[in-house]
Amino acid sequence: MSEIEHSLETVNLTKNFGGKMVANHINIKFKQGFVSGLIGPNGAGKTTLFNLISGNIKSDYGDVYLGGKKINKMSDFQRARLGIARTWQMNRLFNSLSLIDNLIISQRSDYSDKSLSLGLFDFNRAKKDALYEDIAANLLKRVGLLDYRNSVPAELSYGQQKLVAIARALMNDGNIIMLDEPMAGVEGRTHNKIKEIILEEKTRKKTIIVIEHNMRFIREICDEGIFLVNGQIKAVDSVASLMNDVELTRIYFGG
Amino acid sequence: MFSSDILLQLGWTGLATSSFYMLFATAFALVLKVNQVWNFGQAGLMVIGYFSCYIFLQILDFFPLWAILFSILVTVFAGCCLEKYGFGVLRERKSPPLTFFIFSIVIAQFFVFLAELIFGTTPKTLYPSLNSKINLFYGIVITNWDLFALISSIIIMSVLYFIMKKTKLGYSMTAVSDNPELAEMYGIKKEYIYLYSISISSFLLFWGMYLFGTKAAIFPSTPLLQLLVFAVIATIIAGIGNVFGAALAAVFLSLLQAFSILLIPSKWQILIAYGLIFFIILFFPKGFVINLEVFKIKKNKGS
Amino acid sequence: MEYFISLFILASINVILATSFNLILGYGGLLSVAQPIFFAIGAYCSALIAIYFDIPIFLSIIFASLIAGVFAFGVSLPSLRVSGDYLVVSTLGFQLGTLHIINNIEITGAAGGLSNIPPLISHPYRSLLTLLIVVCFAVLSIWMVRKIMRSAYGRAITALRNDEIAFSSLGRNPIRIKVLIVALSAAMAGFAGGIYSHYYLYITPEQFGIFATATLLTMVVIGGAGTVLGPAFGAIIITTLPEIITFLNLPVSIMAPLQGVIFTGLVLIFIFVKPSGLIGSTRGLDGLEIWKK
Repeated sequence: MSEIEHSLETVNLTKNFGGKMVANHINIKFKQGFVSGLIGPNGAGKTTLFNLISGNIKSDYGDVYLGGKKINKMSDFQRARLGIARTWQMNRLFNSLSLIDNLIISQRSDYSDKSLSLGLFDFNRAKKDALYEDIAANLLKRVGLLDYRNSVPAELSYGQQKLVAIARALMNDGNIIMLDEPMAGVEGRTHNKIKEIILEEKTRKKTIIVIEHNMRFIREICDEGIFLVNGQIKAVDSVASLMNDVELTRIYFGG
Repeated sequence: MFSSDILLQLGWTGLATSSFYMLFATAFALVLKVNQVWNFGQAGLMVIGYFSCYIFLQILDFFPLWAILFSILVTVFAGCCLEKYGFGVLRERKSPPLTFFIFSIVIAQFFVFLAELIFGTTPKTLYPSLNSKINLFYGIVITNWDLFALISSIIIMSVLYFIMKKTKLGYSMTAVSDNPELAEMYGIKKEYIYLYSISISSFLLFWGMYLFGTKAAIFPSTPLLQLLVFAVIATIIAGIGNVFGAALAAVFLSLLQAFSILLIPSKWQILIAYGLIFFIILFFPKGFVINLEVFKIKKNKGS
Repeated sequence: MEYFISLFILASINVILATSFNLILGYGGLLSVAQPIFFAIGAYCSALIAIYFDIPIFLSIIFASLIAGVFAFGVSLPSLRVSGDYLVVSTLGFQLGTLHIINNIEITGAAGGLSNIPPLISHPYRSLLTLLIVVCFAVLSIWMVRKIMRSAYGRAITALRNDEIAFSSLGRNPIRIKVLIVALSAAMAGFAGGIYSHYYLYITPEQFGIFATATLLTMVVIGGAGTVLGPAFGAIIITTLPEIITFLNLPVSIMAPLQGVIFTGLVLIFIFVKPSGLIGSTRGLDGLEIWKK
């Protein structure tokens, strides 16, 4: 796989929400095999940047490039099929489905989409599912939740739900993985598990973008930090030097 | 083609008719903005307002001023009950948007059926005679009803504008519509604000029905089948959250309908309104997308 | 006897209608208020095709059902591209607009209704035979919805209802699924409408108005939205129960609104007292609770 094929880049990405610039000419290139941390005070536009990249909201101006190809005209599901996977602060798991089904449905070539018969003549679901079920079960095993494969999300703790959400994003097997506050409200074993998974994905040459407020975590895991304020990129540098910057620290901790 | 007299006459009639459409649209848009509910139950309130006035005027034979005052009280009370014991309970339970929709549609139907059961399915007028004195102004017919309707609606809309833009209540309503949780943190009791906005809305609805009922006869189903749809379309045209825009859109719709008589037989006029729904959704959906999200109360807001 | 057979035919037709509505409302989480209009389109189109063209009645019902599906596709696509909320508004406009047209054009018999519709079966035992056929189709429709919801496609429908944003961000196309189930559901309703018109042989526009919407909502809500058998159960109850008060011999002008008050009143009671419906489980994820996130 060549570098360019999976590079993610934004050019002058701009979005205005009711008079407030939530993204203001954002130019950034995310590197493969790199963990980038989006840092900044609340309301800086971190999640908005995720939404603009994943296509949940459309930009007013500017472009998103994936592998040198403009993707901003595409809808969110088309972008996901190109391998952009993400999580949300609120997890957004499918509450009526078991964990294994939560994962299977997130396979980006789910065959059910093509069924014009709406599943009426789908007599071998188990056989078709088997293809993805192994992958899904493996992912559940990786996050240590294989025992819960037939449980619904509500039966899990909050931290476990975070793990499912991450596993669901990995099910996409895309090259871009965007994690929105994976560590919020998570501690102990789950914390280490998430760290471990991110580092594993990094060695698999994925492009990983993380929004996180936990500075220790950012320092431990991110190769670079991107500091956002008021929808603008203030600085891109190694996390250590960003944290030594008095000006940025002042903004971050609410000066 | 058409003489200027006819055009002016149509314009004037359309404008006069818009008086009540304007009130209905504003009432709908206000509750959608502040209470964040598509209040199809508005048709139920219209039925309650109209028929309580009918009872006071025609059955109990009250003096008109008292009849109007009592009917306003009844309508506002009904509106508050709808909010407190209907939407309020559903909100408390964190019911999904679909339940709000079903509730608001069914409550409207309930009152329409109730009115049909009590008053029959024949049309009713508020006063035994609907004759309004006719004035000729440079060849245009201007009835006293036209003047009364337009002037009273304009006064009401101006007062509402003042309330929304200049008073604490208005600011509070805007704050609650922007972000109910944040407004609470600033000490605004959102439950009260919801009651205020639905009270104002109920008053607008009553007055609209009063104007309508002094011009034409009404079936119990008229509010649901004709008047409500107009309010909904006007709200969509203006974009959700734009209360006074909805009023202007209602005037536009009313004029459009008035002039359409030149091209379309009257029995097909109503189809313009229905057709507009699709026209807007097809060609102007973008501007309204973000605003529509307002209804999804539990929607996760980005940072 | 004939009276009871006729009543059960109506009940079975309503089972198809309620089951079709449940597919989009209960499982899909989409509120289309125009379901009775797709029933009406099926009824009118099938009747008109049968009257004006010399083809087997059964084929005309199939055609009419397809027409209903195509209309549903056309009505729902623009609004579903925007949001589910717009579906309510656009179907409301579509229902009122279509009713207005049916009420005012010659070919449908206008407000007076359409009569002289050729029957599906001409036979001394035609009612009994129709009942058999329509019961089979009612069972088939329940089986269809159950089958869909248990397939991988049904899993996608469930995920879509749970969280549309997550669903589409994971690479699924939500609009496609929504439009397809709305169209299928309308085609089922249209089919039921076709059978209706070729059995009762007379249809009027007022049968498909807000009263029909209220009735249909009542069936699904009190039976239990999002359950396989609930809406069917609701349909049977709501069809047969009012027959008890017909023995009071009230005039139609009172009967119709009285039923309306009872039905909508029932829905209101269920919304607040038993949102899970009669069949829904007490775990609280059935009926109106099914749409909770």
